Amino acid sequence: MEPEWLRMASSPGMWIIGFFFAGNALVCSYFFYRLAKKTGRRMKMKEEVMHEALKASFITSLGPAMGAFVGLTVMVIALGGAYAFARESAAVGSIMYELIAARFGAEAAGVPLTREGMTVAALPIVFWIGAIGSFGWVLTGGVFTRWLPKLKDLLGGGDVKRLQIITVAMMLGAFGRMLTNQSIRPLITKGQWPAIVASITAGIAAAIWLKTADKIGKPNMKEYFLVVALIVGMFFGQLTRLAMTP
Amino acid sequence: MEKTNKLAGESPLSVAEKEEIMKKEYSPTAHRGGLIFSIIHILIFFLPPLYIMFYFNIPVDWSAVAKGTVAVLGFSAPFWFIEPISYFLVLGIAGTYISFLAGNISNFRLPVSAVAQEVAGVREGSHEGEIVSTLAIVATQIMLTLAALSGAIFVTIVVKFLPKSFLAAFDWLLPSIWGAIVIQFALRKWQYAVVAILFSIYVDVYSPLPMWSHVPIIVFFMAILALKLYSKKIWLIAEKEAAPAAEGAKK
Repeated sequence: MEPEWLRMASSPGMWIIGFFFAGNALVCSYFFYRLAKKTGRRMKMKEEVMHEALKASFITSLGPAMGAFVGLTVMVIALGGAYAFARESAAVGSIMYELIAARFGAEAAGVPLTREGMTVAALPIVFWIGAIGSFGWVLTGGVFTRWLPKLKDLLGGGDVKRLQIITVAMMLGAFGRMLTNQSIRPLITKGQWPAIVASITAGIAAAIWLKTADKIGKPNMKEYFLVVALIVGMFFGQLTRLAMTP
Repeated sequence: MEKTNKLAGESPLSVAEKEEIMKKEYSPTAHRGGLIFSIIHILIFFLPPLYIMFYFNIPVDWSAVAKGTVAVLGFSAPFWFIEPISYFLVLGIAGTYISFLAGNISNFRLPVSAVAQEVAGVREGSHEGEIVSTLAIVATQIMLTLAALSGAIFVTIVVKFLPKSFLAAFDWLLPSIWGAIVIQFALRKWQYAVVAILFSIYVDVYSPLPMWSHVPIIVFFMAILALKLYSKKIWLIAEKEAAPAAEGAKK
């Protein structure tokens, strides 16, 4: 039988709140979509370029969307489908954050974060902690973004090529750190190979795909590169794990 | 193929004309809309606990909330400030508003935005890049909503029918994304990728620095390095051929 706290967390009212989360994010996205299209036309950007960018984005989103779909399993089991939908579709989106915040909340309430252990009294505490710990992202994004272009001007100094190389270097820094943290660190500290094998094989697949697209003059091919790289990386990562498991 | 200074997705307008449109038309509307949607979203953030408290009449232990708040803020608050600054150049103005309102940034928005800019043939950080990034982030929001909704409704049923080893392969999704995206940027200038990874290994594995400081330290180190080297004309990005992304779309 469904525990009382889960019945509340999955009640129709919570689903409606979930649709508020998703709805506001979608309306916001539509607002910016119209603004971007209008501005792109004002700048005389080719319609095909904008169409192609949108199409490439949908295709590229398939892999990460599948990841979100699978990651959601954990949240659905831990906190119910309605809350998982609200938080994953338009809140933090990081399963790691949600589970850590939920665990802090459950610990503060003195209960374990399990289906049987959670209580009705602990539920609002878990939800408060989840909200307080994450609303700051929306606040800083909403309030400070208007000043961020100044940072861009400062770095770029009106030189588009300079800005491009700085952006490439910064993104390599951000993604290089993520690669290190999730793939290189486990290898160095624990001798674990699957993650680094996944990264390297995905990287090789990406390089071959992108280079081939350039070589044969079919830039459209590039929109599939991440999907292809993810399939290759996940396949070899899992193969390595199976091969190394006694 | 004739080499030109313009990239395939670039606007034919002059820099000054584009600057005028962005500063006078795009940015004010974007900032106004972004702020309004963000404020509405902050209010929505607090609906789940309020709903449980008032609809079901469940009292809340505020001392427990305070205790949990201290713990969670120590974990999340530094990222509230670090992430918008770190990711702004790729996400752009509108992309930053949507991304920080609806999450899933490093694992979803950034890679998709980067791929879209590559496919469209625009420079990262340029005005055209802003437009393309916005379109990409909008697409991610639609896909994310669909994934979350279908996941929340069906995931428990579907999971029963999927083999365990298939689901386990998703443990390697993020390592695969990082590998592919690092290579995508490394193809522009591999030297920066080597430096970024070596410096990341030092900071992440061997330095005693707190985890929350890793991303800003590495990102700003790379920005300063690029700034210095660019001024000395070292490690410049070669101009691409104007491979027409748009023309490709017609094929």
